[in-house]
Amino acid sequence: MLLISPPMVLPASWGLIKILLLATFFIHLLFMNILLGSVVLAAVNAFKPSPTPRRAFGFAALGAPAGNYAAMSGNLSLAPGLMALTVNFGVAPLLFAQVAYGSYLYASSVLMAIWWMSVPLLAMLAYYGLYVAKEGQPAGLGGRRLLLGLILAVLLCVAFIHVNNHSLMLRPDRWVAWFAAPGGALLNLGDPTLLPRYSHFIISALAVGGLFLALRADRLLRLGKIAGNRMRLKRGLSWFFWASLVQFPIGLWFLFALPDPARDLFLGQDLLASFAMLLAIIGSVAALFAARAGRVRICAGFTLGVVFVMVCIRDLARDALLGPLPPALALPIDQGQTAALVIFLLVTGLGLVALAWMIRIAWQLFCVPPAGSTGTNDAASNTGRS
Amino acid sequence: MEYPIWFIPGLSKGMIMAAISVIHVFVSQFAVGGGIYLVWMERRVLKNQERLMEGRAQALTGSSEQAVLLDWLRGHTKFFLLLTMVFGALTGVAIWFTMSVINPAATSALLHIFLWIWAAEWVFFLLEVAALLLYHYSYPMAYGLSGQECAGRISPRTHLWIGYIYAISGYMSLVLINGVICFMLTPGDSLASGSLFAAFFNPTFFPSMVFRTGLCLLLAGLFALFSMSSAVRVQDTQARRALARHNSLWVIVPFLVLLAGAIWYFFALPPDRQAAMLRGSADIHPFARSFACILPIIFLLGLLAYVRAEKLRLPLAALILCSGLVLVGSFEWLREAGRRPWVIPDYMYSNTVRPEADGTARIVREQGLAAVSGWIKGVPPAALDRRSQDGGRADGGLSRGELIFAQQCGLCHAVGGSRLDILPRVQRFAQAGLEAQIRGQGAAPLDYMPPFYGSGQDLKELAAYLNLLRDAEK
Repeated sequence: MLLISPPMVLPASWGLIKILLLATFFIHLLFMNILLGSVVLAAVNAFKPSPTPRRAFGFAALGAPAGNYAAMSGNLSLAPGLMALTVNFGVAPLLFAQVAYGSYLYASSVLMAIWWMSVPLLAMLAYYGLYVAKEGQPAGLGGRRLLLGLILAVLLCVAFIHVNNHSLMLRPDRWVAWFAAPGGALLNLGDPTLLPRYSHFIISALAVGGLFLALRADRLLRLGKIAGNRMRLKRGLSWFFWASLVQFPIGLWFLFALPDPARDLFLGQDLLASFAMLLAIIGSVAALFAARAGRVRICAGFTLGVVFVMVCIRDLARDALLGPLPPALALPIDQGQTAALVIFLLVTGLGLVALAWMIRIAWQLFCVPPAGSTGTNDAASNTGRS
Repeated sequence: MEYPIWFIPGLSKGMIMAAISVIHVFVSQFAVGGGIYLVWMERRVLKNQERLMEGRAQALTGSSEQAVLLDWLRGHTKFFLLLTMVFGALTGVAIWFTMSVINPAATSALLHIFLWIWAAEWVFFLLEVAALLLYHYSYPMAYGLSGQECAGRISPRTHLWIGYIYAISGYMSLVLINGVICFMLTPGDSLASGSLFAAFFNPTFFPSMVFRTGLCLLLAGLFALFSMSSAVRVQDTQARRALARHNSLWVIVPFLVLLAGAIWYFFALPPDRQAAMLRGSADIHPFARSFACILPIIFLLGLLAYVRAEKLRLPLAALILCSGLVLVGSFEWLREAGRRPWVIPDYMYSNTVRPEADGTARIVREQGLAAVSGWIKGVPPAALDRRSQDGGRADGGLSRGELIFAQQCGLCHAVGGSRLDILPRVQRFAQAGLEAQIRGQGAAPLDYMPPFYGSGQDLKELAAYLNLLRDAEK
């Protein structure tokens, strides 16, 4: 049956669109992981009982201020900003994915239209919830638990819907379910890759959330701010370690749940894919050792590399599962696309300069302590004039 | 045709799209105008500070009023951030998601044609996010507001520059999206020449820019009046009066720009689009009338807020804000309705059919839709259709006639829905009349509807489904 719609001729090379897709998805994934992981850390610790006197003593010995929640929810202050960046960096890869894989992605989105259309609404709820968590201080422990529980549930739903859509697009054979249910309420629940894929993403968020907490604590310790940060560093790395360890069986589960053409690629059939898989495993093991040794920056470096390689592996699996695209239709406006690409690159260049300037100011304002009580340290102003 | 259809009989997909679009445009155009407003006001404060420091008599306000204004500006920035960056940004994403499932073919065409425009717009979106977060959170560090002790860590000039980055990025987003939206109304000769330049700078690009610039600035004034009367109240009477007057001017002056833009916009439209807007059909007429009525109302309300600045309270501010929503809603509806029967004139009809798409039109006419679409082929024709006792498909799926309805009519018409309900429209016809009516689409007097796309058998299937609907309604 002709269920796969013909794509349209791309306005640029396939390779360039792929590079932009992978690069922006990598950044989206990092922000998403930090955000979701941070919310999980805060929520789990909000639900933990108060520490026993003996444990409280242990907290105090590590310089922790007030038990589990206060120690582990430090990332929440950044969460609204992280959410904004996660959304922003989600837009670009979806744009490039719709252009590159629209024949599949539009179909799967229509099949699960109701769920798919609820994503922006759910994200908005989580976003406002994060602002309340950051600034509103929900009343009491019960309020805090309720709020964090809701935010976490909403974010997990958003992730589940995404995983459903991006796995359903790979399975045109499952699209026939639409003939009996055209109301847009389908999910890809029967797909054996769904659960391992979802678990792989969520556990990775736990690991990266813990690592980010540890990285921030490490930075503060270097600045001489001891209170609570040794504890955060230790526990953040511990979250990273155990979550990353769990990733190995889940990753294997995911790999063996993939249909043959994709799975065999990574098991020696394709040199590049097998090498990428090997690289990811070696990088993960190295990150685990670094975490155990307390070398948080080295651990972060390896983790960045592993996440990028995993993004590429995901792409290789997608292309293997989809096979060749149907013949493309003509692009109705094909003159001047190269000039538009040049304009985009110029805008990106200028944007990066402006972004670098703003990041520098933000770093000096929020990450560097004021130079003495009387100093004004208006370095931002100086950079602004330079 | 090429994609599956999201179909719930009573659901008006056009209404969903319109509701999300209007709310988003309302907030996002405030985001554009509001960014300019914020830096304009901050610059004004800075100038005044310089005058105060120099002891010049022409300082606009005293130092205490200055502090009130700064405190208000910071509060308004937070209101602005929470509204535009969360609600505004995510309703923008919602439009995209909704359009992707309601009309994937048109979404795909627009994304392919304007890929680099969208990509550049995303870069400006990123700059908006980064600049607005930094602008908001560094306010106390630039001015030491609300008793915080971190003043002086960034100079007010640097803070203002961050605001400029936001304002420029916001305006550039408008410029880029305006090009795409205007292409959907007036592609000009770009489809013949294949030129992206002609597609972007199409015949209504510049008049629309003037109109939308006026609208964005006007919305900045409306929201500022609303914010100072609700979320970020100004208590000081003198400062309140001066601020209300200033904000009212942001309604009155941009209104004139908007009006000039609207007139130019209308006359820049090709005659057939003008005729579509003036047609006065039941679908367009109420919106044309509300647009014409709300224009003087909004201007008069702006004047009233200026004259009675000291008495500005929430009800008046809310009324002015609502009138802004009506203005945006009527205009956007008119623009959308003015495209009919096209989604992209001369390229794609509003039901996603393309006039002579790659030679498939002949195949469709001769062999039927099932020859080119697996989604239709997968549904058995009426002769083979197994039906349950109540007339529906035994497996709960669509009949072929229903699917053709969903595909070719369902983007505008709902079955029993709130907008363009098909049920009263089929009451007057028997099966033969329905077939004649469908065959007549695309030519006067039904030229505001796309022509039927399919074989004689497909047409019969559709008419039979409509016949069933009529009988069920009786």
